[in-house]
Amino acid sequence: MPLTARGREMLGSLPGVAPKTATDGIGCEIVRHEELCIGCGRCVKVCPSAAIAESALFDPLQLYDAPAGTTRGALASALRRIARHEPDGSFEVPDRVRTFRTIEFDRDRCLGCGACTRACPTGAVTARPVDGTGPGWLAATESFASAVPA
Amino acid sequence: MARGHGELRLGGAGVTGSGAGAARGTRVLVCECAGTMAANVDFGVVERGIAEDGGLVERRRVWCGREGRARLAELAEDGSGERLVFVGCSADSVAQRFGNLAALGLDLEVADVREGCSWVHGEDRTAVTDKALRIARAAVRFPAARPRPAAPAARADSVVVVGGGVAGIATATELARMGHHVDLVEREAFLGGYATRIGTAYPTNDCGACLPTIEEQSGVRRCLFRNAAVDHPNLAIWRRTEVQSVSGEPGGFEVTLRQLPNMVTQDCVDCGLCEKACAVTGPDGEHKAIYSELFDGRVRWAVDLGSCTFCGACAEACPVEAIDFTQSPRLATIRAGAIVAATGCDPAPAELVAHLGYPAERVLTQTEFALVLDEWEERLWLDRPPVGEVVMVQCAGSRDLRRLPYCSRLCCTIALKHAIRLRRLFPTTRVTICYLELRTLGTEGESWYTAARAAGVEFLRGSPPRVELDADNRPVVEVEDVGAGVKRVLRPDLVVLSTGFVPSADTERVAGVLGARLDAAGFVDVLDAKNRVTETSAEGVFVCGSASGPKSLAESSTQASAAAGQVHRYLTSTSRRLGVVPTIDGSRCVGCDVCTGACPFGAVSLVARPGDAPRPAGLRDDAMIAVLDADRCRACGICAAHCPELAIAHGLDDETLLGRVRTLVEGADHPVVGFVCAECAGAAFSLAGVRRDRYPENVRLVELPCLGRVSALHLVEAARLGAAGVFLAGCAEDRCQYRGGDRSAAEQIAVAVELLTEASNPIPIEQWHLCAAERHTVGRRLRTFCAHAEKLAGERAAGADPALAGIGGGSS
Repeated sequence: MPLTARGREMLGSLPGVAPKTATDGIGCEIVRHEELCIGCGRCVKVCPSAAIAESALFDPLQLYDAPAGTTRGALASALRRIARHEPDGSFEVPDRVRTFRTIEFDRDRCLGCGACTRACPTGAVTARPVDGTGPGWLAATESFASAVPA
Repeated sequence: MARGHGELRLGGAGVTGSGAGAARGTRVLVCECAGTMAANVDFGVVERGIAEDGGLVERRRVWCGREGRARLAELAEDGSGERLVFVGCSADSVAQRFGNLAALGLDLEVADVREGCSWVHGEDRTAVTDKALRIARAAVRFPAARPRPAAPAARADSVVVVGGGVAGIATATELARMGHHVDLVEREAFLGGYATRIGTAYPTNDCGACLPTIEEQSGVRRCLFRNAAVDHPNLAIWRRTEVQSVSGEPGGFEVTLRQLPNMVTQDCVDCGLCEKACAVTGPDGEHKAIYSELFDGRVRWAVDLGSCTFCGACAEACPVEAIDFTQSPRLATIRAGAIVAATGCDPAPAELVAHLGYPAERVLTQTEFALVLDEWEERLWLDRPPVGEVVMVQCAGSRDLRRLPYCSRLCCTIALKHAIRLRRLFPTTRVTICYLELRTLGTEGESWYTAARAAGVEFLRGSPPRVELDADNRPVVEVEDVGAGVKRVLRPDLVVLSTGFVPSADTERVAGVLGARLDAAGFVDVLDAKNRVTETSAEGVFVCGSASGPKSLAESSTQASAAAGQVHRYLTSTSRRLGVVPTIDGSRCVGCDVCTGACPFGAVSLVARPGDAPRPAGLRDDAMIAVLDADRCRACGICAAHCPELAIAHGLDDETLLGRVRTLVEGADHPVVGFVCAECAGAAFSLAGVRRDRYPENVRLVELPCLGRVSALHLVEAARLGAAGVFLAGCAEDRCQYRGGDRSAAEQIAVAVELLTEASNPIPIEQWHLCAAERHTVGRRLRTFCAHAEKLAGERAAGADPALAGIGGGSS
């Protein structure tokens, strides 16, 4: 699969790796920027290791840093003006509503493959090279393997 | 991340077109309605207010008089391209009064200050005038996109009918005789379907192969198997053919058919020597691998491809070389303006009645029993009844949540038909029908029931939970006789199960290919259960007969004619649907795919973004973009409500919608915002206005094509603007004109209520389901809701801690 512009940018800083294809990114640490997430769930659909899931809940605090000009941003702008205090809890979302959901990311199951990064339409998921503190390719694979029933 | 589009500014002065001068190029026609609004509306104030916005005002005592109409005709024809806003009565009244001027090109936007304001409010002249001005301003400042002009339809004059049962044949022949080219596609080697294979049929007690006849012969009907009934120059029959895929647009489908060979050519002279020569038995053991089943006027014989060993014995035996084993499957693509799904139904599968001892030698279904009866009738000369006692079990596997949850409607009548026939053939045979309720409706059905009673059929109310077999393989039926209150054990010679009907095996696949939805039971879902019963959720795709649920022959025949009429209208109508088609702003759309799932009509799809398309800044190179199919789109706005990027501009885009709400609400005293759909609820409100049901003037109505247009954002924004309460009035429950609008609105309300609760500023938000018949409840509902909302607002104000107000607003 050819690399996207963002993929090139992401992988460009990998030490000692000349990124040519997307799979070169395997082993990256996935970083989520919740303020850019629009809750479309595309990352959930593409994740090969079920590390990403749509929660049944939504935390209104996630709205507050959303960019203006989006539904979430506009909602934040309206809510801020009338809120008596900051929202202090998540609420349950009706089944078919996709866009008001907290996306749950299970770092232990993540393979670092970057599929979510490529699928995300807003750049809310980025990948950065493993710096020793992340799970790393091997650890992630083992964790994934143990999660799969024999 | 920077997004490459202008910000949607909310709440500030920044929304475009909100101030003075916004109305330039707009001519505002103010109608005083002959003084009927004089009591509470000061039109001088309204006129001055609009003029401040820059609108050109023409005020008349009445516009629907001769002079006013002449002036309107003049404005319509002057070709200035000016926007015309009519401030006066409701859109319905305007349509009635000035509808005939539309032909001249008159396009009025309506600001309803009569039924929606003056006529329904009290004497407070200042407040009512203020509301009337706000209504006019909302329309003048925030124009909605106008419906596109009717475009000529280019529809292929041909139809594909899928399914060659009685419904499909009737539709196909009807359409062929109307002059359309028809391709009739049948999966099996022979036409006719179930109805022609089950012996005699309800309600006429003769066979199911009758087709209506109109002009071709004397008499009132003709036989499918004679009279060249399906021989028509406009009718092409595809046997052993399946619809493989469908592409193209409604009105111009490209249908790919896959046809398996028959191996027997039209040269066949029906001698039957091939069957004698064939040494292979077919799949169900009933016929050879080359066989004849039903003759429908063309080819009488076919080779069963599953069991044939291709030994060639039949070909050698054939005196006319009509057997051609070099035939191979072929693909063909044909063009069709419309498609009719007539895929029929199947009797319920055996596993659904396994608890009733089926299958067993002495346990049959009614479908099988029909053929057994035919056989018994042939052997009547034996003069000895083949069985002494028969028990029929109704609702076998039906109306049972673990099996078939629904009533198939036909089984009661079928059982009566068979019971009567059996009693008449063998008067000494005892026939007992175990039933829960007998559902033989109508005058016809009742006469079947009384005929059965007269024929000596016994009725036992009670449903056996199971049927066991004793050591001799005779069935034992234990049943509680509800009428007598006792348990009874029946030991009949034969048990006949009245099983229900399920969608035919191919229904799900065909519906998927055609893009038509299925209902909960797996039948093809109809567009409207009341008055669009032969249309499906997919435009240009129609349905008839048992494909949309089990039907009697009479109903199937009625539906076949109805579908033919609908298809004819569809193919010959000269213009396509009017209406505003939403547009997708490429500079906002990020290709997130939310809208495609939200659309009830499959009108939105995700495609590769063309290189020259506008795009938000920082978007991936390979990002997709959503595109709308204008022919499928019904302009409900559900996609726009779901878009996380505010990229879909409906006729009422978000800026227009929120701008209108703000114009109507800002600074008003405890306003109550009502989003009203333009369909059923719109009719109820319009009629309530004519009734002059009074309600408080703080109600501010915003008309939408469908409640599905409303998103949580609009509700929260209404609360921010100071609304004391919000209600959403739409069509009756589950009767949304756009299928999903009411459910979508309910979900958005749920989100908005939670968001407002989390922000500790809840206001009442209600959803109402109204139809025109409920117009007399509108006034009462509004009065009650306003009182409720005001009371809550008062409580909130009293309980508010001023120290908490405004927290969270610091970063804005």
